Amino acid sequence: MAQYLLGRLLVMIPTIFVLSVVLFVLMRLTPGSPLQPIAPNANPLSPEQQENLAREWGLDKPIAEQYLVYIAKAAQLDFGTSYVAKSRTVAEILGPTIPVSLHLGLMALVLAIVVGVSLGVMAAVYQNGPADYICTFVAMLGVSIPNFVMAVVLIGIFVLGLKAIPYTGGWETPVDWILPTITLALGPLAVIARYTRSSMIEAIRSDYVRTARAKGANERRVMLIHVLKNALIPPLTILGPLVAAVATGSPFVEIIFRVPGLGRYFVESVLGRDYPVIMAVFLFYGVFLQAMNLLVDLMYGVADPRIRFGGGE
Amino acid sequence: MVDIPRDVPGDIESAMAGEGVMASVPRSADAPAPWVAEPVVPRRRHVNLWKDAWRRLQRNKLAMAGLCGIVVLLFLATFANQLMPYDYDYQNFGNIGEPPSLEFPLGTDLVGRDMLSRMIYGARVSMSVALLSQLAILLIAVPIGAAAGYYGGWVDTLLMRIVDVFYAIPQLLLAILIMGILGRGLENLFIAIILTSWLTLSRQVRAQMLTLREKEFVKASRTAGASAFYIIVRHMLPNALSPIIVAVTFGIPQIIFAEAALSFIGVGINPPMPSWGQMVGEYQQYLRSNWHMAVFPAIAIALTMLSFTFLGDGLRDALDPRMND
Amino acid sequence: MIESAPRVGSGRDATDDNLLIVDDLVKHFPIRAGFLGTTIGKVHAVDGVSFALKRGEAFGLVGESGCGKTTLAQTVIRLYRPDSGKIVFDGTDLSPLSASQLRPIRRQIQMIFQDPYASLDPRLTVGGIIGEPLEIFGIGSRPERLERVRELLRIVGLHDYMINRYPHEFSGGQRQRIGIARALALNPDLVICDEPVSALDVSIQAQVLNLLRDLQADLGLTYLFIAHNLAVVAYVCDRIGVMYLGKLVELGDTDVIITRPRHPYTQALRSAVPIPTPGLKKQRTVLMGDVPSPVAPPSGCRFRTRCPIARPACADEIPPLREIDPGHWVACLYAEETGGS
Repeated sequence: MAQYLLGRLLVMIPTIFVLSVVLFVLMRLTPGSPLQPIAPNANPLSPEQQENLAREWGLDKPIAEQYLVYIAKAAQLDFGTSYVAKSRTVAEILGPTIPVSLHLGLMALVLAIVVGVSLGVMAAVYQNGPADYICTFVAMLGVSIPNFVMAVVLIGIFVLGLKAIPYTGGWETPVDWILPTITLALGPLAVIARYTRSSMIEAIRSDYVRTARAKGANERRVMLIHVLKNALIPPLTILGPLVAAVATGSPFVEIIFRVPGLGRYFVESVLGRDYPVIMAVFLFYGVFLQAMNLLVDLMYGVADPRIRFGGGE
Repeated sequence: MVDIPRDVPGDIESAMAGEGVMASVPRSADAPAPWVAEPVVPRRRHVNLWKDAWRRLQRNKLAMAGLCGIVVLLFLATFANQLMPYDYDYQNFGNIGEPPSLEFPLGTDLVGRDMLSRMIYGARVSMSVALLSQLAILLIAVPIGAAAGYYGGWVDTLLMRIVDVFYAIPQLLLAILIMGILGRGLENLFIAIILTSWLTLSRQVRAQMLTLREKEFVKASRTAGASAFYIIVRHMLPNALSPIIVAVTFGIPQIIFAEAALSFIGVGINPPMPSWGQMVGEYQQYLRSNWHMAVFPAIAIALTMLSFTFLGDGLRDALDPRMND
Repeated sequence: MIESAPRVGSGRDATDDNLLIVDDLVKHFPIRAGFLGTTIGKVHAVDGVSFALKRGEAFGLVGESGCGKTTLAQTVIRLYRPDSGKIVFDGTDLSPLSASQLRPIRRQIQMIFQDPYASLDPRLTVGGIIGEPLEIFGIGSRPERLERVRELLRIVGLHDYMINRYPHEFSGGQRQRIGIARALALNPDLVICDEPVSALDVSIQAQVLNLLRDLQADLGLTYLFIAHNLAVVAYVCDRIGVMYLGKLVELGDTDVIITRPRHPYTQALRSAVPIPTPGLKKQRTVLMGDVPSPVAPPSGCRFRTRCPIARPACADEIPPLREIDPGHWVACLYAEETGGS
């Protein structure tokens, strides 16, 4: 197990390193970014401000040092001052948005997992029953329809049609949480449901279940425990990509429902060419997703006894 | 020392499995007892593997529905100029933000442009971006993936490391970044989409190649003196065709989604060129007052992606068991 | 047919009629683990094997799964590059050659593969499969190739109508014949048969083996015949070599190996062959234990962990392949005592 984790860690570190280098190079090449502020009119700063910036980021020093300056600052969460809101630092701006996005993302993920797994299990146990059709239908929708399209549909039904939810949006009251969470959860829900269903079906049809039945295992419930324990392990492997999917989906949901989250600020910074913010958000996403992947791998390592007790050939 | 009876005629199996030629097959006088004969191979008309798959696809109603949808889209896209009642950027300030009417069947937007025309042209934009990008991705990803899978070595390691790095950041976010740097517009959109999407297909092709490389018929070809190129083109790619086709069919809605998403945010297609995603993005804030401006493009996106997904699912089922022998 | 002894190390001139000389051939496969791909061990698939084939003879290699015979076959035909040793075919050493240098020689060495279900490309027609070698070397025009394919089909006992059919329409035995037809397309001198009947039903095995024997007689082929069934090898071959864990342990004429095997392993193999004489009691030598892993083979004689006559000395030195009788070579320190039964 320790070996497995060590292996995972050893892949993670060079990946983050390469990511930071790629970002560094991109930013260096982009006229107007703090790492290359020379192009006139490329960003909203005055010439002296640009010179100050150049000195701060060490642009007169050799490239390797520039990179180190960049990394050192990033480690201290110093990403400079926003180009757009010139009086505030990036950290100040993004600080409050991260908890919001985490909150939304977590709720969406939990919803997706709970509903998705239940749906998948039901669909597999009662194959070709109503649950199965709902599951397939939802899976199809979730995979094919982008979440911002779904948001429009949901708003149309629940806000405008049924008038069940106020039109304001935002993130103030719990009522505001409902639609964004559902919208963000739908895609991952569909994937989880599909995956759980096929994993369950495979477990149900497997030899060890047939043996248990032949032995006369009394209750279906007991068998379900056998089956569930094994069937729920493969879906764990997609948790990593699922977190990434939630992270990718959140900008769109946040924009439509006016949620003050990280994703929305990311988009605004891209539109406004606010490069310090862009760099910070990107680095954050990269590190965050890698950390989440590692966590998921840890959980998977604990859950799958083959890894927990060391595999061997 | 062990010996084996020699009187079993060599052509008994062809005699049992043949059709129509049976009368002319010489049977040896000492034809053995039936238990020595081979199991009979069922008669089969000359099968064409593709026709088989097509027949199976036709039985899948959802897939056929998807195919129809795609045909309609292609029709709209090709004949957009003939079908549009107005120019897509013709602004009629007398009819701003009007709901659907006889004159403007899908209503007008905030600067008086006819929604129907813009929707039709949007079909052309979506289709061309999707199909052309996917073609480019195919032309890039397949050779690279095939080379990595077949030759292994440093080409393969390099590819896999690149894949690992790109895997760290979600495709869409990366595309947003690239468009942010390059700026809006059709050409930049192609670049961003192709750059972020070719890796997945490449990885799949590589995986296919890795499996096929160890197959005995590939080894047989090598012993017959075939060059790597010959083997890849003649043996491996045709056998990898079905997964590639399925991957391409699923890749197209992903590109449509990417274009819609990027345009929704505002870093995609440049107005006034119509893009469904861009329309949803711009008009979603007006849902209460002018619902038609955002709803129609949203529905269009949904239907398009559904069509391709249905077809992709159907193709995957139709191609799967039969073609892999 | 009396043999030519496997002489290790000396170069041979092209004037003798050895078509193939394998000289101390070694092929290991590295085991890589981890993301950096570091090598943590080696599979000793072929560990110094030497023998020679005369033109026109059928030489059999027999041994259990994992003993390295298939690897040996695939290395001889240069699907792999040997780690060391020589493969001298018709006077030319194949081991250092590049792919393009090998190409013209490939016309003379062909292979019949084990799995009739995997060795034919499911996407090609039977005609396409058989004609592929001709197409690769650009031999003849299309009609000429078609005619040659028809001829080959007839030689192996199949019918013309099969040309436009696909492999999956035929049975295992027929598919194996297609594979044989393909191997013969270029008129090779040497045909390597890698377990050609192992995947077939027993009744079909007989037919295919007979076909192979007939073809050898009619076309003057030289066979390197590989199998795990001693009876099968005995039926087709003039001389037999027995392999165990990457090394040759016994080598000699077929009737010698069958009637008077000296190596304990060969004796065990031979005792396992069923003899259809009811009432005959024979001595069955049952080997204990499992085959050791080729990653870490036992020191000294590799068979000592399962050998009924193993002594302490067997662990110290690797027994050399020595000529115990004219033309009969054994790799056992105590071969004199085994007195073949």
